Parts: sequence; structure tokens; C-alpha cells
Amino acid sequence: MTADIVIDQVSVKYKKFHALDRVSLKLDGEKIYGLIGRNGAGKTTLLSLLASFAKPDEGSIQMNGQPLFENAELMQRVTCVYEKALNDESEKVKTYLEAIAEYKPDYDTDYAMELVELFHLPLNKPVYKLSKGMQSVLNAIIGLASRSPITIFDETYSGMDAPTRELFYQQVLEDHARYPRTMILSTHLVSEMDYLFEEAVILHKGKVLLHEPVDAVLEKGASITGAAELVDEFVAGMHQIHTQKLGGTKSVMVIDPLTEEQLVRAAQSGLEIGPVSLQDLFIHLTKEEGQHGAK
Amino acid sequence: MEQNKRKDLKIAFDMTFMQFGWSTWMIGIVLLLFISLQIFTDFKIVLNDEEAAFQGFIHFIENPYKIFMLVVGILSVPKFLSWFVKTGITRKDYFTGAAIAALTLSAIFMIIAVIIGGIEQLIAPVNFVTYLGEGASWFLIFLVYTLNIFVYYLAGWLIGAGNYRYSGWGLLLYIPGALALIFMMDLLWTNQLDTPLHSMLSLDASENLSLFISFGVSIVLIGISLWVIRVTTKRVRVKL
Repeated sequence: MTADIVIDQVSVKYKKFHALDRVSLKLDGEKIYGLIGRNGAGKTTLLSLLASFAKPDEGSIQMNGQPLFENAELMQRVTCVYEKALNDESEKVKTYLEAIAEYKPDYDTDYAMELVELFHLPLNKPVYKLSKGMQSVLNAIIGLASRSPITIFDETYSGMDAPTRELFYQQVLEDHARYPRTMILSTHLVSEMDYLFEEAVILHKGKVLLHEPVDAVLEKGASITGAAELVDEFVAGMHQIHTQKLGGTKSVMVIDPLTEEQLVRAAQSGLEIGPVSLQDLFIHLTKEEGQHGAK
Repeated sequence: MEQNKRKDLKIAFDMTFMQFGWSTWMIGIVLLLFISLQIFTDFKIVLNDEEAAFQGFIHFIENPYKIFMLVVGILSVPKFLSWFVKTGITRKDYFTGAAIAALTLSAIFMIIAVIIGGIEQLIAPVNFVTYLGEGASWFLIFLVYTLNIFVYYLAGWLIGAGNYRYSGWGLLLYIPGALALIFMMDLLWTNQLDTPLHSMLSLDASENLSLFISFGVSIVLIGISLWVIRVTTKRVRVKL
């Protein structure tokens, strides 16, 4: 089952604070999406709507053409795991997993056990006695093994150490290749996860700032480095997002696709053209005035 | 639709099983206490005949059952609704499942009480009396007690749901509501209270009619409580 999600003009308000402000997004099936945003951008709010943890104050969310909220058939096809403290769960890990398996139609027990071994998760330990890292692993295993057409990881990985995170990313890619489905991974660890994403959605202050295939985003941006005057001349009229100056050398980041002609001209002037990473774009698109040094 | 139905019945089964599991401790301890009291105390000396007649097991375990149900009812929304929704179950299926589970659990509790009460009668027959009068049949006792235990779950469920949805302020409205429910049920069923409502209900009605009214009003009260719980939890935001 593939799942197409249409989010239409969705708003969520917490008292006077707009957590989401008329967000519209179309997520087509079977891709890995990166949901990127700073703290408080509205990532978790948006994901809790997709998981039916809450109903939007305004707007609608549809999955395969049907309203999602409280739809029994659709809700059971969505799995959302997030970084939660499991300190009041007294069951053993094994029992905890079994209970979830009972209610997840696409859950694969064999794969879950494979992951338990891979991540060295102790099955007979009570859940509350697991370390923070291991609780993250448990959540990640539930997310992966549920094999839901919509699988959401809301920063599940922030409790894991770097090698465990790598192992997890590898499983995401491998299992997505075996069982293609819509996966949404929210994060602010952009630089280490960007290779996972097919499409990136950047949220900022409750609004969608960007939603595009990652390739297209990367092609758009470039950094131009060279003698200050030449650089200034070259980037005149372009959409500049960041400038750095060191002595007579200047580096400017732009998000305008460069034409062949421009590339040739740059080479002739001795300017260096480099790529812009998703992380750079994220940082500079979402920075506030007066932060991260001079613009 | 068919899948929905199977799901709420599955929830009902799982919740009954789990909550009954928790209650085995309580039932065991109460039973042990009851047996020790029977062995070490001679009620005929301590109490008069009328009071002694009220010392049967059914009467003894009634309040522990009710307190247990109240507490489990309070936990229902924060523990079960939250878990089920996070696992991909609708609030509606949870609601139906939890309601069936509470009624089933109440019935199981009374089956256990009636069986132990029956054994008690075989060992040491006493002139058994409940608030339903001396001649009440075991079936009537079973039915009425089941209903009353169930209502304590509803009272807890109301409080838990109100608190979960509206935080502290919800309690200002939902606790009085739950208390009103319990108070009304007491008025309808126990003959010990002497209130205007109670005397009005049994004043010129025959015993059967009064029973009929008691059942009727109880069903209405239960219906209203269930409706309030459902409305409160229908779109509730699940806490992360």
C-alpha cells in the first residue's frame, strides 16, 4: 500500500502562538523525506497531526483521498516514534514489543528480532531500566519493524551515540529499499543525515520555507570564492544568502542556479565555484537578524 | 467496518485481561483478610444479629471492588487512550473497547464474589442480607452489584478524561460530576439513605416498580456519563 498525503492549509495554535500557520504540503508515496527545522519550528506539531495525535485547528489532512483523523483503516498504517522517556514502562522489552506487534498490521517480528540483535538490545530487561540510548534504539526498532506505509521518526536518534546513529541510518536505507514506503525523518542533525533524504522540507516559524528534491536544492545553490571585487561583480543581482570575508578574499553563497555561461565566466576570472550543503542552506535560510555574525 | 469491530473487541479483551491481572492482588488480599476475620472473630459477640447478617463476603469485597474500579478508571485515559492512539488505534475503538472491558470486569468481579459467597453459605450458612432486601435472588444481587461497580469505573473515567483534556481546571467540573453520579446511584440502590429523592422513588410505588425505576434511571445516568466521556475524548490531543 502506498500512501499519498495532502496537507491543505493546516494551522495549529497554542493559545496565541501559531505553531503551524497555513501549511500546505504534498507528500507522494515511497520516498524518504527530511523534515528540517530549528527548535520550535513546528516539526513535532506537524508530525503529531500526521500521526492523528491531534486534529488541526484549521485545514485538512488527507491520505489517499480520505480524511486521516480518526480513520481506523488509515491510522493503523501510520507509525510515529519520537524521543520519549519510557521511564514508567515496567514491562520487559520483549513484552513491550509484543504488545505493539499485536496492533500493527504490517509489523515484522523477524525483522524486529534481527534489529534487536544488531543493536544489542536486552530483551529481558524492564523498559524503564534501559539507558537513554537504548530507549532511543527501542523506539527506532518499533518504527522500522512496523513497516507502516507512513513511518515517522521524530528525532528518535538524538539519544543514540554516533556509531549507533550510523547503524540506524544504514537500516533506514536498506529497509526502505526492501520495502519502499513513505518515511519522514525530522532532524536538526542535517549534515550527517542529508544523504538519506530524497526530498527536503524546511519548516521555519510554523511555515514551509522550502519543499524540493534534495538534488534540486543542491543544484540551486553555489558558493563563489575569490578576490572580493571580482566576487562582488559576479554575484551582483543574485539571491545571496551568506557572505564571508577574509582579507581580500570573499566567499558568497547564492541560491540561484548558475548557467553554463556564468560557469565559464567564473573560470576565466579565476573564481572558485563550490557546492552548498543542505546544512548551509538550512542555517542561512532560517537564521534571524543579528545571529551567526554579519550577513 | 468489520475490521473496526474486531479491533474494539480485541481492545476490550486485552484491557479486561490486563486490568483483571492487576486486580488479582486486591482480590487475594481481601479474601485472605476475610477468611482470617471469620476464623479469629466471633461476629455474634461483637455485633448484633442485624449487623452480623451484613458480614457476608459479597458485602465485604464490595468497597474494595469499587475503589479499585475508581482508580483504574482514572488511569484509563492517561494510560490506555494515550497508548492506543500512539499505536494507531482510533479514540472511538478505544472508547468502545474500554467500556466493554469495564462492564466485563465488573461482571467477572461479581461472579467471583457470588461463587465465594456461595461457598461461604455451604460452609457456614448465615441469614444473608444485602441492601436489596432479604429475599433478593442471587441473580438480582449479581446484576445490581455489577452495575454499581461499573459506575465507579465510569466515575474514575470521567475524572481521568476531564483532567487529561482540560488539565487542572477540568477537575473542577468533572470531580463534582463523578461525585454526583456516585451519589445518585447510592440514592437509587441503597435503602439506608433517607433523602427526599429516595422516599419519592419508593413512596407509592410497589417494590417491583421501584426496582424498574432504579434500573431505568441507572441506565440513563450511565448513558449520560458515557456520552460525556466520549465527547471529552473524541478529539483529545494525545500528550507526547
